[in-house]
Amino acid sequence: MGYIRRINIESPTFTQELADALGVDLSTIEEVDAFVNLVEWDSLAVISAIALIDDYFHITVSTEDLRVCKSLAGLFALIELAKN
Amino acid sequence: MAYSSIPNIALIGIVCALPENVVHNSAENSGFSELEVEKIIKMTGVHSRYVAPADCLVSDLSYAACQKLMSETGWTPEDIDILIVVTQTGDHTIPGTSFFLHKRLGLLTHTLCLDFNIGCSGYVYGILVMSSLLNAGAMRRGILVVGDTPTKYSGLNDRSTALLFGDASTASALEYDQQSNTPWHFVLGSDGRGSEHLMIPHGGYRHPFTLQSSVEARSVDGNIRAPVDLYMNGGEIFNFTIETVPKLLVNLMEAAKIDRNDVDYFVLHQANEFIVRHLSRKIGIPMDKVPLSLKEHGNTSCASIPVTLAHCLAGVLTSLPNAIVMAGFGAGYSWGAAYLHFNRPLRVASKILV
Repeated sequence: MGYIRRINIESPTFTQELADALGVDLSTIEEVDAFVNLVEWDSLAVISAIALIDDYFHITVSTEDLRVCKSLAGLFALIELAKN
Repeated sequence: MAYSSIPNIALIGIVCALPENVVHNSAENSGFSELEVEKIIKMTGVHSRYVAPADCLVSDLSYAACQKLMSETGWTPEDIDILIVVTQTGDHTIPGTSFFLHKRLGLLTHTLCLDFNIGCSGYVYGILVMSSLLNAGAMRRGILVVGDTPTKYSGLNDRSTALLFGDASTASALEYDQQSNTPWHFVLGSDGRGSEHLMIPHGGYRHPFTLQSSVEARSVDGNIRAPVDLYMNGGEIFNFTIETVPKLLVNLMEAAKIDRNDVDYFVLHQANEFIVRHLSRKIGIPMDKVPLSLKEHGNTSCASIPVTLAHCLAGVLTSLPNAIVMAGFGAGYSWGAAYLHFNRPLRVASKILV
């Protein structure tokens, strides 16, 4: 039961899939503070992000922690924290 | 998790009753833009829903379902020893909806009536309670009603719920049967720490209904709702689901000493299509064994499993013996899974419009 699709946290596939889930270009979520004013970072996007993180890393992260992420770097830090 | 194994129970039939009013999810039929509707449909898989008008209650749908069920099975009021109603949208606070149904169906005074309030795991809990009662003593036949009208508590401006839920009620006939000797297996559990993530804040005795209860405001999640509307923290519900349901199904299959190849269909609560597909991928079940009824019905709360059985599997259920795993999960948090082996075809598995 269960599987981990990839373990490289900065996998370009993960970030591309996240951008696809949000419905934005990859370059948009790679910006500094990309998530701060991103209207697509809504409740549906949060669920998509949780699912992607579960697929890739087999961990769960809370919605509150996700909502305060300002950038991809913050998201990766959150994932690292959850993995440990 | 709690485990139970109950032999000598047979499912005789299922009838699903739907209000005839169909609402198609679109910008025209909602307060959302075309882009928002498109995103919501992509996530939920819900294109249309059956929505009960104000004067159509869960008891009305349930009455129609019970009448059809009794007609198709040949059961008379004298035959009904137990009537269980599982709903969170009962007609009145007191008494339970089962008593109104008891009266309308003309049941007799020997019938045991029982209501309980449980959400999306309600069908599994209902089958467990009914099976336990039938297996324990002199009662031999029971009708399990499982239904809700969640559109009555969903805020029209809340993106997380407004286009997701549909109304339905179902009636299932179960009886004690010595020849059904393959035990039914159940695994269930609860975690009250999740209660705040899926709830209606106002309207009970903790926060009685006031004028403020209907005042909409924007929540921290960006959605607009009133305190009397359902609050659903989708992200936390999703976390709960992906942490709990795969383990639940593994525990069930271990307890029943079966593997996934022994199961004809896995009928999961139709929370939304994204969740069902994610779960099936995570558990390793091909989607051709995981029926979906969301497109036409939406999430019908506790009724979603029997709605899916009647909508997607009517043909196989009424023609072949089947081995079904079902899993419900939701408000509470509450979860339950069952492995049911049907030794003979059902007499009825159908849908009706009310």
